[in-house]
Amino acid sequence: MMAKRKMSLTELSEKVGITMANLSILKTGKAKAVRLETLEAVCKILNCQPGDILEFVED
Amino acid sequence: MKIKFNTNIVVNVVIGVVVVLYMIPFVPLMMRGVNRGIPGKGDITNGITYNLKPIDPVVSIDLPYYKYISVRDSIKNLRNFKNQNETNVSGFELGYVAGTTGSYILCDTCTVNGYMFAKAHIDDRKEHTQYFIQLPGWKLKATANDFYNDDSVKFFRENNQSYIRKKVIYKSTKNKKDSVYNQLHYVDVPVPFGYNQRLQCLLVPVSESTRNVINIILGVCIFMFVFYMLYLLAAFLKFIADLSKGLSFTDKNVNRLRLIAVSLLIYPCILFLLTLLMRLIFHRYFTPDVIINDALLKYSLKPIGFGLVFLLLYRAFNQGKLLKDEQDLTV
Repeated sequence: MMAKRKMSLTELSEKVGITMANLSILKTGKAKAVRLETLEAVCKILNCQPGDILEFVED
Repeated sequence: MKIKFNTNIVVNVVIGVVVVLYMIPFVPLMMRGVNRGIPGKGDITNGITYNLKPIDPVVSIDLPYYKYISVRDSIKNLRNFKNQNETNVSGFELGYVAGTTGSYILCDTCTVNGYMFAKAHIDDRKEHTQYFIQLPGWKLKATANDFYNDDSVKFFRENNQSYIRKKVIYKSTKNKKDSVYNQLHYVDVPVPFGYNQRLQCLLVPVSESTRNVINIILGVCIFMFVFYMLYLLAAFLKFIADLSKGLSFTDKNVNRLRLIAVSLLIYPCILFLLTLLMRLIFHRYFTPDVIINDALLKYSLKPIGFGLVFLLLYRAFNQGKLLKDEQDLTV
């Protein structure tokens, strides 16, 4: 989605208002939970639905 | 009011152990209720015949007070010497497991005054020393104050031989109501061990070289034990220091608490097993009158108590760490 919008991690973190470290955790899938407000902010910036950035992968 | 058990198994185990620890002192009291009271059906009554002369001379109560005290003390001192409880050589002692000691050998014909004079003039003390491995985890059924119990025994040495004086049944009669009357009398049984009445510990006579080897082994064990205790203390101090820095729920702290809890809980078990191992190693010196020292069990209660507290702390900090990790990884 970020590639589609041609947006870098730094730019996204600045626009969403979260740190690079947290964004990295989110991107690598290490995050244990995502706050609804974070999800809302990311979706708003990337102009997409939560389903576009979340994916269920079976272990 | 309803009492509900917690579903957490550790909490239930802790509650169970605490209840058992509080119940232990009451068990002997409950057991004492048996075979007491008026003889009836199934009761056992004992009577004692004093068939042997006293081990030590009895001090006449007709003596003047200060003379009485002086004679009584000299008899006590002589008995102490005869029983080889006058320590000459001290050595390492590893808790209730084992230790080494040595004491003067006193000839039976010597008097205390004569012996004290001789002791001061002995050139080669080694020749006059008997070496022992002392086993504080094992004691005789009797203590000095416990001699009136039917089951208890008294240790003494005569003619360079150790004996225990004990009561045995020599006549048993049964009446119509099924109650039994036992007539007890005293016997002196030779035993292969020595005994320290004051410390209440068994003494195994050994040669000087054996004593030296055991002493070195004990020294190494004590050094390792002290080192490990210091390591645990350092872990605890680091834990406190981390808390003061605000680093509470970290992997290191959880591991430290687990190490301290496990060490404190395992320590009494190891102590108990080593004490049993001593019995296996020196089994030929043991008789049925030698029992495990109950002080060992009392001594074990403290580490178990502290161990349980640290186990609960470990559980709490582990839970806290999980919550913290979750919190840290929530974006």
